Amino acid sequence: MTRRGPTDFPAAPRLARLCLTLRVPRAEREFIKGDLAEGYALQLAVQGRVRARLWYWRQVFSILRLSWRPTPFRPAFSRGDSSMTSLLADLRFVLRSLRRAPVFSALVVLTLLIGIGATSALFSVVYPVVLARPPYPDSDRLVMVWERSPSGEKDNIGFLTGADIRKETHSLASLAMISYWNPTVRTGDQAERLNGARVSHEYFATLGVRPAMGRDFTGEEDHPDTRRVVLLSNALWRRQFGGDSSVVGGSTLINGVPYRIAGVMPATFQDLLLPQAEIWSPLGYEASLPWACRTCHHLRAVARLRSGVTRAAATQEIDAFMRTLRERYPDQYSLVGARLPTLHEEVTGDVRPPLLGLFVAVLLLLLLACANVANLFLGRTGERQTDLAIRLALGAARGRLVRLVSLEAAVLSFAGGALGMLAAWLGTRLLPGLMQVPETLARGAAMAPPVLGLGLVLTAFSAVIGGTLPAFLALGESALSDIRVGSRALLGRVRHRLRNAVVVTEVALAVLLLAGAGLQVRSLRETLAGADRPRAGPGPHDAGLSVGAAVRHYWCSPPVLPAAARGSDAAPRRGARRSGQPAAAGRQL
Amino acid sequence: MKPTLGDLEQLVLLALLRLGQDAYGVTVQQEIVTRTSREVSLGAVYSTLARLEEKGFVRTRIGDPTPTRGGRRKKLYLVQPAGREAVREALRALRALSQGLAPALGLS
Repeated sequence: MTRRGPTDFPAAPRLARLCLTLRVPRAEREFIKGDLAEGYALQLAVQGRVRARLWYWRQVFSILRLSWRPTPFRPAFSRGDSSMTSLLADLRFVLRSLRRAPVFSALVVLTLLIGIGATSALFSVVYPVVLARPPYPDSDRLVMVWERSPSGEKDNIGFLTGADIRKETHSLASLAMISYWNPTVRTGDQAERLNGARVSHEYFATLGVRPAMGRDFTGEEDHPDTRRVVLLSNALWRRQFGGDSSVVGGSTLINGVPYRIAGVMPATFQDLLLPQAEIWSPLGYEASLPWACRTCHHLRAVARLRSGVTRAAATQEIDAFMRTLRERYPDQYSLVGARLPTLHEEVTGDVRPPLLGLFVAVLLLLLLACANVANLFLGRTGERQTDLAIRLALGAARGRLVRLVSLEAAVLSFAGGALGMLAAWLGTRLLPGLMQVPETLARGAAMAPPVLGLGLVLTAFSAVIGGTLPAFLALGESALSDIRVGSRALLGRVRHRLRNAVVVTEVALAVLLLAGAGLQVRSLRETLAGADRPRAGPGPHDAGLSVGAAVRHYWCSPPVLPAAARGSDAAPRRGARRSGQPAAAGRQL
Repeated sequence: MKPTLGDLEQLVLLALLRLGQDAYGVTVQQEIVTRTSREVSLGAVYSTLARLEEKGFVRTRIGDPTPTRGGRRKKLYLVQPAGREAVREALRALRALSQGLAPALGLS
């Protein structure tokens, strides 16, 4: 097959043949060498030896130039070129070309850094606060139990009402009541006023948590005379008692009275019903106490549904039972039924809308960033038109060029995404401190796997929307088949159409963002207007709020007690106390 | 949208149609050079043929070896119906655009 015939290159340039052998893949070599031999023989006969040799060299150069290109003869000439090798070659090329365009690269990375960083940082707050379930076992079965007014609003319950529900209904496995408590703890010369709670002895069992050290409250301790016992949060135990495990079982002075320390809660425990609480003591009510009456609406109740009982069924039963109570004690119940929202709904109810609103706004910001990146890439595709046109003229495949531009987008998006995630990580560590976000919220804000996952998705999304899609459209079939070196008209038209689309998208997103910002400002104004009203129980937030404190208060305050929130609009009842008045707790001692 | 033909692609397809069963790299080049007096390199011809094959306008088969080729085989190209249609379309566009332009172009 490859033997030399009598007319085969007696004087054909040996070096040129060697070049062909080295550069042209074996599969094509036979046909090309055959063509050259035939053409050379013809040239030799017609033009003479010198011109024939020149002709031969010209053809070989034209073929060598093709074989130097990555994919001149797709697919035949690229058979020996593994996809990984060509991908690495493309990657090297992309990195070189990006080094030559530092301003473009920096702009794209910076834009994506802001978009992805802000979205990830906010999601790291949104996820644990709004989307994640409460950190208790079978938390879907945890519900709040509120009395329901004729207008459908929820209200706290009185002690006897809670006790009757516990005793006479069957839907609940357990029910615990909770009240605010602001004790002053004295250790040595130090005294500290704390946020705490008085809770039914079943409170922690209802939530499904146990102390890390010591023991839970017992039923005997939930009485007026025996209730001087406390459970400490891990933070308080470390701060006030130096993390000394021997204090468990000992006693400490609280409001000047000795209390026994029953145990210490786990470091991971979060009391979602009262996020600032650091100390818990048994409620210690009994029916004879004046503040334990049916009209003393100052307690919240949390319950665990019996296994297999739905919330709807429980609501129906307790609603009916409330009507029974009203018939039994017509002068003591103006409220007409019960409401049982899940603990998750209750806890996230207040923060959910503003946080989700803000999250949507930041997602729009990311889209805007992507539109900007798309615009930058379109501009760059325009600048590289000649380069792309030459590649096309030399036979480069459209897919290969799209891959090249996509790779560029992927590299920049990855860089932007990685820096964005780094910024988000720093944000979750620094921002809570800078904004004085409460510890419970800050502790939840972390780069959890879902946050990292979202970051990756956002990065891929940015690469596709910002880079690959414009590249694909700009290098589409219609643009490619007519593109020529020096002829800029068609690609120019495609680019302008895309750029117009990008501008329209950007304006639309900007309008959406403005509208969203307007709504946020309105919400904020309402928050500030409402800041003077007592809102979420005890603590320093209740009066004289600064703007920053009001924002934090709005986003981070514990679940609202409706009766307290309504303030003076509720009719005063005998013995009723507002749970927003912590001084009252002192009188119970 | 149907893929359209570039300038060289049109020339190569027309040369292939003229050559019929005997169309391969060097004969295509010679046909173009002889009939149009345009210098076209073998590299450009191969590149164009590969592109036409990728577009489905031509297909290849391997021919017999000949002594003038040093006993090497040929890679023969055959125009497919899609290729004929593309040429027809290109010629129709050329005719439509050039109609009535003879005086302006100085043609008799």
